[in-house]
Amino acid sequence: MRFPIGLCTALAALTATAPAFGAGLTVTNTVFSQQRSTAPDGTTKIALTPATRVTPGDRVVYQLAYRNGGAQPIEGLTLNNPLPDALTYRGPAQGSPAPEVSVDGKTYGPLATLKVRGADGAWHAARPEDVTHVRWRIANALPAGAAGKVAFEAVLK
Amino acid sequence: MRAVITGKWRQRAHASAFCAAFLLCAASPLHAQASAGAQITNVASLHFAVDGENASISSNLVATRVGEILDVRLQALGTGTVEVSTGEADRGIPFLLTNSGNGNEAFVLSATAGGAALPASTLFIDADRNGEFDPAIDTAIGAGGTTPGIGPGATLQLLVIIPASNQAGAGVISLHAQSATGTGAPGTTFAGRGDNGTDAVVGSTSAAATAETPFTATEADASVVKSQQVVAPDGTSSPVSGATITYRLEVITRSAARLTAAQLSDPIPAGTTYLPGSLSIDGAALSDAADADNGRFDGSSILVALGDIDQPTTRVVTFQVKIQ
Repeated sequence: MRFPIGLCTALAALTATAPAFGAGLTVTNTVFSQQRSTAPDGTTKIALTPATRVTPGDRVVYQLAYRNGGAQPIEGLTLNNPLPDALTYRGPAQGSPAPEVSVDGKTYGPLATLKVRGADGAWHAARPEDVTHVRWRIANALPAGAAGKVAFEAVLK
Repeated sequence: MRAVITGKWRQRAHASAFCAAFLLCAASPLHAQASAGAQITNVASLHFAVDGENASISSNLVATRVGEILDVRLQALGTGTVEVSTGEADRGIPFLLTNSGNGNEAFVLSATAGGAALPASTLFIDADRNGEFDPAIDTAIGAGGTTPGIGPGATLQLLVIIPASNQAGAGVISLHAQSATGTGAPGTTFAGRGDNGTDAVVGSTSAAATAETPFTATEADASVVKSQQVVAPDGTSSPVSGATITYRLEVITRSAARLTAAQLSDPIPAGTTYLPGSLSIDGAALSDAADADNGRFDGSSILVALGDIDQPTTRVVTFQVKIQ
């Protein structure tokens, strides 16, 4: 129901147009919502549209687009994204390299290698909903003028 | 609270004369949903080196607002068919409503008995969740049939009173609840009508639910008709603190009944205090102590021994309580 204190009537996703800068490196973070539809031929079509509004159960994709706008190559590039609390990690987005994940923000690796302590005190294999951070380490130096994109998929709790 | 007659019965005792309070603790753990109107923000950090020098930057912040999902669940409390004594005016049929959406939402209620629409005046919130109707405690839903707004995952225990005019034979009490914002096929959107001005979106329940309880209405061998009069300190009939409630219990037995050692008991409603010396039967005062006369107050209930009854009889017991 509507509440009169409607300061935020505009609910478009705030996809900031001003990217962040650092030594020529720029990065743009964008959130999309994912719509799955079944095509007449029975295949599932996945469409990404800017997330204007999300409701629990919706799939969203966060995309980090980076670009080396400087004259020097950039080395050891690591993109680290702590997951917002309201989201459950699902996996890399279509077309993106898989990130390393973490359940504590300290130890990173493939999900299958991580463990979490359950309510019973015992350690068990981590599940996607245990993931708190995702990280990509770009192995090769990023030459001047080069760009790339990584993205992950999550579900709104 | 429901007055109860106990004793030995020659014929079947009518179930409705006995307390039938079933309180189901339906605290089904809800998956914690993101709250409607909440803002989800995301920032990434980047670490890198240029010319061997380490640096880091943060990405821009992206923010997305959570829309309101409209969902409701309704459940009939109690089990089996409710037996109602014809003429019983205060029999509440309990239901449990759950706001299974993620926002604050009010729900519009409507009820039918045997297919006939009931007025909104038959709908109450069972404030003390005891499954029984008590006009001094329970809150009328009021005209329009809309509940107060409740938070995500919150429940309201509701009572539908079957009016005497709807008690013919047998039927079904049906309660329908729907989101006050709107209903429709899952995915239907009400732009800007969610919490904090977000969109409201109909969830998987279609934002509407119906629950039913079958009932039969029969002539009871014996019945108790309870009525009350509230007098507030300011002279009005508002059930406020300090108000006095005079309860009148009319015990009616019919020719078919033969009771031996019948006893009437009625617990004092929660939130009230018994007014000492206020117990009477057919206008004659009864002392509160357990002594020679037939009435007493045991600290939580009034108890009146009615003895053996083998012919149509009407006895009237009154007592008073003060609302704390």
